[in-house]
Amino acid sequence: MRRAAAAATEPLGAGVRSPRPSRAFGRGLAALAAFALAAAGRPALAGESDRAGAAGTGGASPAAPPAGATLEGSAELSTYADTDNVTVITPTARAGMRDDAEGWRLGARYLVDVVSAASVDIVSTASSRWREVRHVAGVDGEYGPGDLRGAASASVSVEPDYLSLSGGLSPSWKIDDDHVTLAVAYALGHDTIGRADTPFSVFHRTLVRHQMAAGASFVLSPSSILWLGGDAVLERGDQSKPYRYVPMFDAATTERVPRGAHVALVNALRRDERPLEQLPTARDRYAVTGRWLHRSSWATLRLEERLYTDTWGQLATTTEGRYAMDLSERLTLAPDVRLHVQSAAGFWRRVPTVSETAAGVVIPTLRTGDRELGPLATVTVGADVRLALGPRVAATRMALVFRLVGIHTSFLDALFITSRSAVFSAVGFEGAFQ
Amino acid sequence: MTMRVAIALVLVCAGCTRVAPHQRSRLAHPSMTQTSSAGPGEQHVRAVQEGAVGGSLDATSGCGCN
Repeated sequence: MRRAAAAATEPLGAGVRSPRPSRAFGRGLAALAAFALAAAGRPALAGESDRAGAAGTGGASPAAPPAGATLEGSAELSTYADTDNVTVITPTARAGMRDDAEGWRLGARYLVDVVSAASVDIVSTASSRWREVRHVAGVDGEYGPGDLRGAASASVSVEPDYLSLSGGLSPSWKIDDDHVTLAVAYALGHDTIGRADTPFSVFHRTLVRHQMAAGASFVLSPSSILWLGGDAVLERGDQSKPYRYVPMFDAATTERVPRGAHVALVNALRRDERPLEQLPTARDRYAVTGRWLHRSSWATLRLEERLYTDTWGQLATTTEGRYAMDLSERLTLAPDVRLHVQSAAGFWRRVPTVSETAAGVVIPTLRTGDRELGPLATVTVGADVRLALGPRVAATRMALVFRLVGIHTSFLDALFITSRSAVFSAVGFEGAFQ
Repeated sequence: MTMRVAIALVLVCAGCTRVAPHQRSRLAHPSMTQTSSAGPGEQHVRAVQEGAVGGSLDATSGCGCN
């Protein structure tokens, strides 16, 4: 069971608000109250919001804030295909309204994941190709009458065997004459994990997530911003996959099961016992992130490093770099590269073994076949092209965005496969109407 | 721990220069956002394929696997 994608589509040119608290206060409070009761979307740290480049970092637009509200809309269609026979098609739509002069924003989004998989994990259990559709809906909003700004969001994800609800708040505070923005966030998630074709009333598990984050952005110079932050996620509940069976081996056969062992070899050497996956029922995740952005006269360099650890014993480092170049007034090209390396969870065993005692066969209490809990390294290289269909500053602004990404993962200690290559592509449209 | 964080913040702030509002046009450029360049589809791919993720503050989902 996995974490889902965050949805944050950068809007067309965000001006900086010049709040008029007396007029905006009531509307903002009403908006926040509505979100607290209804809610969805990605409650990014307020300092991380799509306005953060200007407002969250204490920046100031060279232009006056636009008068009146702006309607925004975007749509994206993305596809994913990999060498492990998994394909995903994801259409996404987002709509919203904002008033930068009064300092508020409201938004809603909806996406559908259509997954088709015949991966080696499925083949190894003699199952046929598997298809599933996931629906995600969310709302989010922000309001900031001055240096203090608040954001709220909530979302729901529904699929035949999984229901996830999440909601959160994320205030931020600008200090030191807008040179520093402090931000905190909290979100509560409640997942119901079931089995396909089985009502939740017959079988389900519950997973609760408390997600906390805190950070600060610093204006280092007229062209540089630094973000330092940390986040913690406390997960409680059994998130073992109810479909994943783990092959067991005798200790004597360990040497005969190499990395990437073929399904046929595994089936020939494994024991008859094939228990379901069993993971620990609590997991605490911690990460720290540093991000540096620098803007030259025609390009923006973005460098990011994230360090991760958790109570399952996994360590990880993720390094990203992106260079967005303004090739013309309307055309932007942004290549990027990403490297992710992680160690195995403490209970990870490529070849899990049983022990035989006088009382019978003893199966390991904790066991998994999820290779994403093993050691791996992923290299991602991509680029996006953004073509504005009109002037950057206009009452009606539209843009097309294209993205193409190549992903290669090396599984350093896993059964069945040693690597996976994938291609991700997306085409999107963004519009803003004032 | 608190002291170390405070010292780190002081050191960072010490490296900052005072930037007047009229000097912030580059900071206000849309590309200077903290938001990830990855869209919802791509972020979902990462979330599914990497165990060492978390903190997306969003609704989660099944694994898209067996």
